[in-house]
Amino acid sequence: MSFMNALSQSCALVIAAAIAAPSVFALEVDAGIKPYEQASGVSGNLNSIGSDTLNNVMTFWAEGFQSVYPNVKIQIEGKGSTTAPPALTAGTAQLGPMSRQMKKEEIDAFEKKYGYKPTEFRVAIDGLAVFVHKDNPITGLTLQQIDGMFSSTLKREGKDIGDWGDIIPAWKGKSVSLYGRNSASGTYGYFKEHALKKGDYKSSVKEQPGSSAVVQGVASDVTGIGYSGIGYVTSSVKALPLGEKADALVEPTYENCLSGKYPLARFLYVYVNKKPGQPLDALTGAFITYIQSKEGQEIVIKDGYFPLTAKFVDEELAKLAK
Amino acid sequence: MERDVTNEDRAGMAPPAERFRTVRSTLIVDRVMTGIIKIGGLGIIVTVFAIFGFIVWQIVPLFRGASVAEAGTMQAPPGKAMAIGIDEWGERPFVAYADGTVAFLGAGSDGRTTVLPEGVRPTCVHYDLRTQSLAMGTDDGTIVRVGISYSAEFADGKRVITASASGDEALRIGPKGVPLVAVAIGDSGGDKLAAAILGTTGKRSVMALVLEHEEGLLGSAGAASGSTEPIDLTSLVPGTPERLLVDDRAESILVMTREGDVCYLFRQGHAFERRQIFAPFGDLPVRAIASMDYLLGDVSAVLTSPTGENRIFSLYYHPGADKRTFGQTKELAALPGPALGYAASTRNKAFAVISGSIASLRYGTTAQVRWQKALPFEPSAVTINGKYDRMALLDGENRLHLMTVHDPHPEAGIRALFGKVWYEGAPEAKFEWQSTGGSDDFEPKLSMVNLLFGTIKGTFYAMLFAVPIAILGAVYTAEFMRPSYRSVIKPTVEIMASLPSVVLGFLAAQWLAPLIENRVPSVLLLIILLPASAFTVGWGWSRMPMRWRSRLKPGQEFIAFLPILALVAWGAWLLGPLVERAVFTVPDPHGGGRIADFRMWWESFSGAKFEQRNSLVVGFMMGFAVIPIIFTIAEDALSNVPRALRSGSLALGASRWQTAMSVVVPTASAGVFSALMIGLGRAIGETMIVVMATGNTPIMDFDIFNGLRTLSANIAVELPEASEGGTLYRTLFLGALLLFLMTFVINTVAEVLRQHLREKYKTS
Repeated sequence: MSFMNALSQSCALVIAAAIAAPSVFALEVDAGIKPYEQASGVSGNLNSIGSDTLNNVMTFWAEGFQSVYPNVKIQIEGKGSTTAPPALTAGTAQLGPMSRQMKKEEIDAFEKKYGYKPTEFRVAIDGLAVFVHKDNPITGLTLQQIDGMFSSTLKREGKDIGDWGDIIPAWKGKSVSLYGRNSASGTYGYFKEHALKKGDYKSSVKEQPGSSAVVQGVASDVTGIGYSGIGYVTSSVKALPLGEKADALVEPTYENCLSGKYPLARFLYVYVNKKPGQPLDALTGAFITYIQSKEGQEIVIKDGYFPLTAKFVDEELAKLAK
Repeated sequence: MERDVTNEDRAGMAPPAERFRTVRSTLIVDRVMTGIIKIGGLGIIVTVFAIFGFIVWQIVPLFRGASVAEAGTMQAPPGKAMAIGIDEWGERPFVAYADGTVAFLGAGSDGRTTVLPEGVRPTCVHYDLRTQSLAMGTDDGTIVRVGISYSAEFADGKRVITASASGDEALRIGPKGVPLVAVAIGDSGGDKLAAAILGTTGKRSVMALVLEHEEGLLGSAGAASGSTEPIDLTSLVPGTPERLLVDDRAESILVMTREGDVCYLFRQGHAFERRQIFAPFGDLPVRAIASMDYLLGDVSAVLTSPTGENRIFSLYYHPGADKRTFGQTKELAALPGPALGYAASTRNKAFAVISGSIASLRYGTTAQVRWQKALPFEPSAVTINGKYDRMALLDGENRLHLMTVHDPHPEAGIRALFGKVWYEGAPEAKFEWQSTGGSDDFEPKLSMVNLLFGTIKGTFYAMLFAVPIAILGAVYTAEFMRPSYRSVIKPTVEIMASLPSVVLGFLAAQWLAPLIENRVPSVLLLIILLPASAFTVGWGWSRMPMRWRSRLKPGQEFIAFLPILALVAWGAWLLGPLVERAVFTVPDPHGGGRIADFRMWWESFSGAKFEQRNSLVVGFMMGFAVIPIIFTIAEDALSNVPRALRSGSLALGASRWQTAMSVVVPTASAGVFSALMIGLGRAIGETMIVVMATGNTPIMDFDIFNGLRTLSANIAVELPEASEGGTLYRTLFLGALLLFLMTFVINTVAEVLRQHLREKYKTS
C-alpha cells in the first residue's frame, strides 16, 4: 500500500506543481491574519495520518514549518479521512487531517480511551469539485443530475442517468463512466451526504485510492465524471458549475463557497488530541498556529484550496487556549 | 536397491568394534538437530493454529447478541412524566412533566426547570434524541421547542456534566385555546418543519409550519424567510389523525390515523401533496396501528399493531414509480401487545420498544431481536443514550431504571454477512458491500457474498488466461524444446515470477487498461488468431519437404514460427479497428449512420456496462503473475518423468506428440495438478494487482468487461479505516478467515487428488 501511495503521491505532487501557477492569481490571504511568529522549544517528531484531500497541503505546511524549525521531523500519510480517527485514538498520529467532520461513532471510540473528545480545527475551505474530461461539452450539472449519475437510491428524486445522451443529446449512446473515492475518504462521505442526500453509490462507481487517481481516471476517460477537492483539479479535466436548480449553476469560486451558493463548499479539518484545560504540547500547538498564520493560509491558496477568513482563524486560535 | 551390509560381511572383515560405534559428538548433534527440527515443525503447526485461533477469536463477537444489565435506579420527582431522556454518558437523565417542567436526575440535580411560558401546559411531547430537543405541544395551540443541553467540563481530570433545559419562543400553529394532540419537528439544519394535530371536540385538524433558512459557511445567511403562517393539511388526511412524524430533512410528514392508515405528505416549498396512503396492517383482522416511529435516518418507520405485530416500512422507488413511497421491508418477531414506548439509537439502526412488562432491543437492518426480557415492573417510557451503551426505563413509581447495554456489533450476524438484506432505499433485498459512509445514520452493508464472488471471478479469469499458456508452455519446454534452450527459457520465466505484483498492478492500471479499452477488437482478434496461426504453422510445417525441415534441428522449429507469430500479432493489432468498423457498430442517434465503437456496441449488445478497469485486464495481469508459477512447477514435474519411459515410448514407434500426451503428461499429472493448485492459491490471494487494476467495484455480475472486488483487495483497501475492535475491523478478519478456509479447502482437495493421481500413475 505504501508504495502505491508514494507513487500516487508523487504523481499528484508533479501535477499539483504544474497547475499551481495559474490558480494563484486572484486570491489573497485575509489581511487580518497575522504572520507566523517563531516560538521557542519546538522540536521533535510529528505524525499526521488522515485525509488524502489534504495530503498535498499537509506536505507543504510541513515543509514550511520545517523551514522555521529545522529540527522538527514530520511524517504524513494520506489514505483517507476515515484513517485519521483510528490513528488519533491509537496515538500513532498527533495530527488527524480530515475532509469531513468526525462521526459520533469515531468520537465515541476516542472518548472511550481518553475520557474527552478530540479537538477540531478548521484549516481551509474547499469547494468539492465535480469534473469531467476537458473535451466533454457539458457546461454544468444540477445536484439532481449528479445524484442520478452516481446514486442507486436517487434520493433527490431525479431520473437515473446512465448515458450522457440524457443530458447532452450529442453524446447519446456514450455511457457515463463514474470515478469516485474509496470508502475511507472523507470526500466520499461528504459527497454521499450532500450530493446524494445520504443515498448510496452505484456499485459501478470506480473507487480510486486517491484524489489524484480520480483526476487521472477522468483525464484518460472521455466519458468519465468524478469528484475530489478543488485543489486536485488539473488542466486535463474541467470542474463543473453546480447548483440545486438548473438556472442557478455556480462555479466553485471562493466567493461562491463562502456565501454558500456553491452547494458543495465545505471546511477541511485537522483533529488533535488535546486534554481540556491543558495546553496542547508545544510542537503540535506550534504546527496548528502555523496553519492558522498568514504563511499557512498562503500555502492553502498555493495548493488550490481557499483560505480561511480572519474571523475563522480567531475562532480556531481561541480553541488552543481552551 | 542397494543392499544393506549384512552381519556376514562384517564378520568376514572383523574390524575392531570401535569402528562401528558412532562418534559421541555426532550422536549429540544428531539428537539436538532432531529436537530443533521437531520444535520448528511443531512451531509451524502451532503458529498456523494460533493465527487461525486469533482470527476466529476476532470474529466471534460479530455473531453475539446484546447483553443488557441493570445498573441501578434513580428516583425522579413525583408527577406525571411525559418524556424521558439521558445524556450520552448515561449520568444525568431528565424527565419532562405534564406541568411543563423538566427535572434532571443524578449528581448535582437542581430541582425542576420550568420550560413553558406562564399558564401553559404541555399536552403532548416528542423527544428528538438526534438534536437533543423536546417538541412540546401545548393546550394553547402553540409549539415550544425545548433544547436539552449537556456539556462536559473537566476539573482535575474528572468529568463533570452540567445539564440545562430551556424553551424557545412559542410557535403558534393553531388558534388560541386549542390543545395539541401530537407534535413533531423536523430540523434539517437549514429548513425546519413543525407539524401538529390539533384537537377540538369532535374534530381534529393537521397543521404544519415551515421555517426556511439558507445556510452558508459563514453561518446562517438569513433568518427564517417566507411566510410563517400555519398550513392546514386536514383535507389531505382522511380519517382521524392520531400521531405524526416529521423527518430530519424537513420535507415530509407521516400522519397515522385511528382507522389504520398512514398518510405520506410531501412538502415542496410551502405546498404539500399527499404522495401515498397505506395501511401497514391492512392484512390483519384489525387494521389499526398502535405506534409509529422513525428509525435513525428518518427513512424507515417502525410500526406496531394493537396485537403486537412489528413491521418496518421504508421509502424506496417501487418498480416503475418515479417517486419514493413507503413499502414494507421487514417483519420482526411479534411483541405481546402494542408498543407503549419507543426509543431509537442515534448511532445505528437499533431501537428499543416496551410492551407490557416486556422490554426489547431490536435492530432494523437485520430485523433481529438483539435482546428481550420480561421485567419485574411495567415500564411506561424508554430511552437510549447517544453512545448506544445505556438504556433507561421509567416504572410506575417514577423510578428510573438505568441499564448498561453491551452490543458492539448489532449490524453484523449471519444474515447481514451472508444473506440478502433489504437495505433502506433499495427496491428489494440484495447482497451488497458498502461498509463506510460519512454520516452517522449510514447503514453499513456488509455482505461477504459480493467479495467471495469477486474473488472467484478474478481467479477464474486469471486461470482462464494462465492455465493454457503455462501448461502448454511447460509441455513444450520439457518435451519438444532443445535442452540448451530450455536452460535459458526456464530461468527467464522464473524471473517473471519475481516481478513485484505492485509493478504489475501499476502497469495494468496505467498502461494496459487504457490500451485495451480502445482496442478490444484487436485483443479479441489476438485471442483467436494467435492459437489459430500456431495450428496453421504447425500443420504447414509438417507438410514441408524434408530437406526444408531438416535445416532446423528437432526442438528448434519455433525459430521458424516466431517471425510469423510476431507478424500475426502485429496484423491482428492493426486489423482490430477495421473489424470494429465492420462488426461492432451501433446506430448513430444523429444522422442515420453507424458508429464503430466496441464499448457502445457491447453495452447495447449485452446490456451490461463496459468498464475501463475490467476483468479482462485483471485476467491478463494476474495471469501474468500466475503463469511463471504454474509453468515452472509443471515443467519440473514433466522433466522428472524417467528418461526410460520416454525412450521406451519412442522406441515402440510413438511420435514425440504421442509420447508427450499419452506417457509423459499422465505420469507427471500429479505434479502438473499441484502446479495448477499452487497457481490457483496465488490467484485467490493476489492483492496488489486487483487493488490497482480493478475499480474495486463489489458487484455481483460475472461479465468480463466489468470490475470486481476480491476479499484480499478489500482487506488492503479498508483496513486503515477500520478502528480496532469495530464491526468493520472484525468483518475484515472474517474476510481473512474466508480466504484462509478457501485456500485450506483447495489445498486439501488438491492434496487428495494428487495422492490419487500419484497412485494411479506410479512409475516404479
